[in-house]
Amino acid sequence: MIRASLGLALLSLLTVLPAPVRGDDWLQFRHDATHSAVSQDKLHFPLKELWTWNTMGPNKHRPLYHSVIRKGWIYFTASEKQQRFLICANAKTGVVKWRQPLQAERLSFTVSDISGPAVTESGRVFVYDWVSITDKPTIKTLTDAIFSQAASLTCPEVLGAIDCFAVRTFDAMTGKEGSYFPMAAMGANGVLSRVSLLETPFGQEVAAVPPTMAGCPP
Amino acid sequence: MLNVPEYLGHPLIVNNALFALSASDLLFHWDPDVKWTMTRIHHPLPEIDRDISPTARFGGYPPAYAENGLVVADETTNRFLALITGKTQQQWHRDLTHSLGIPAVGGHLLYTGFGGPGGVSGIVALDAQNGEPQWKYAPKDPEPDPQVYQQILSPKSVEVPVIGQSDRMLTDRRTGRKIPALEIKGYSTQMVPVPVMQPYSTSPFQHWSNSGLVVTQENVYGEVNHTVVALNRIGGTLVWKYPIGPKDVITSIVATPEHLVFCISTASNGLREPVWSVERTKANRLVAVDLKEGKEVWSQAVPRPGNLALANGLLFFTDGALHVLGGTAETGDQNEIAQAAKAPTLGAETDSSGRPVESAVLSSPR
Repeated sequence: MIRASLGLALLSLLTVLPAPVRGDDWLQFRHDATHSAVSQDKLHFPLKELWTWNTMGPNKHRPLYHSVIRKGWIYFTASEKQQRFLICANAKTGVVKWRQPLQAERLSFTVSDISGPAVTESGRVFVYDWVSITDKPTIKTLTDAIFSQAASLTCPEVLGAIDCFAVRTFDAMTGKEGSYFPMAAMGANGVLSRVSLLETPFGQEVAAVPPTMAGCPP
Repeated sequence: MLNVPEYLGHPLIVNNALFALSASDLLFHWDPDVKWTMTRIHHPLPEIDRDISPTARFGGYPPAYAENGLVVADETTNRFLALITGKTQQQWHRDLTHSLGIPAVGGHLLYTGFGGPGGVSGIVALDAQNGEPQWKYAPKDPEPDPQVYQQILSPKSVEVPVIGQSDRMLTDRRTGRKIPALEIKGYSTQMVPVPVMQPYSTSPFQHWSNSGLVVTQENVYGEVNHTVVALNRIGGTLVWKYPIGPKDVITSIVATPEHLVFCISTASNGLREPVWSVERTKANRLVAVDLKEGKEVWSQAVPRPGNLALANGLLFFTDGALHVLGGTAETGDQNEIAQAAKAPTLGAETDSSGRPVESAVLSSPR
């Protein structure tokens, strides 16, 4: 009860915080899809530090190497104890608007781990995570896709869970979770069609080649 | 338990869709609630069976958007740079002999650093429509980055006959017994590991420690051979240069309409490393120079090397932690800013809208 009341009080506090001033957004790695790395907003020197966010997960894990900004709100991932969060805060003050827990505190491939979130102009935040899928309808959807790619193989195992890297989405303003994409959708062991970039006597071509791997789930 | 070991590098947003290259050879595209595609991109070695020629290794290379396509590159195995314009279409690709930095695009030109550690031995401009080089700035024309050959096992799919008993009977000559003959009942696909040699850079994935480029209407800015240079965007001529020390590296570079801002890090061991793996440095500082002439206007020491972003007149510096810097005009209400110190607690209590991922809508795999 106390916790609920506190939550409501803080929620009402958030509603009276001033909306950040709109400027040029930095929506993704290197600013935009062309990686221009140019903001239309000027800086007024000298600069001084306005606020900081320190983060430290287990084993001194510090994955905070990228942030993105939309409509005056900053989005980044940070660890706290055993948990990693996607955080939305006022870019000018650091006051948190919302934050969402992520399942994996650390992602094994470092570039995935340090890649910050990215946000669309329309307000969808993408963030990388690792998910454990245990609900049966989802597993069936995924396994049907997996085994349809290896039709000649038989896989006697019944999967109880699928663990995989995933792209998750959140609403930039509310933090409400949207759809997510599990990489297991690609199939067992990553069975996918390939295209080859070829040099031929007649120029460059693209050709299909057999999948890189196929087989039953390990 | 099914475990799918596939990871993505820096996301690229084009309209509402996300694109990314994986650690391996995957190009991923997802437009939520609309469609998704995944394609493995292959650059076969010459004179090797295309089926078993080793797969690419993107290492999470950050793709850029150009000419209605995606700039992708493998700078580590059978190196290439390509413009992919559809699930199975390329506009062009070029074989490479050098490491690459982070690509950037301005108009019809594609720019990238290339050569040596961090891909900062030079900057090259290519016509994004056909991949033809337009100009190159490389004061010391770099040698090709060395590769070694390593043996890997490449899977080859083969059709294996399935043998079973037929209706036809044979007689054993020794015993006179009748036994059923064997026949091919069908075929199954199996994967056979085939040893194959793969070229692999002795220093792979140099885009990890590249500082990126800045592309304005007039110029391209970037790190080349221990200088920060401004090059004319169309012709590649040198506009100005800002020298840095022999052990200094630029870890990130960004710009406003008036200033170029970058982070200079002096490596203790003289080696160039990605910012996330740097353990010891002698000194690190943020520097701003005038965009037109390269004159230093501001500098500030920072504890570690990191990456930069700019928005709303603020500078965002991430070095494992987040530091937000602004001028006096952006300082704002100190009471408001003071709340930032309490932000983690405040944020935790406002987390009321999340759903566990198990119950999230799985909208894409149809």
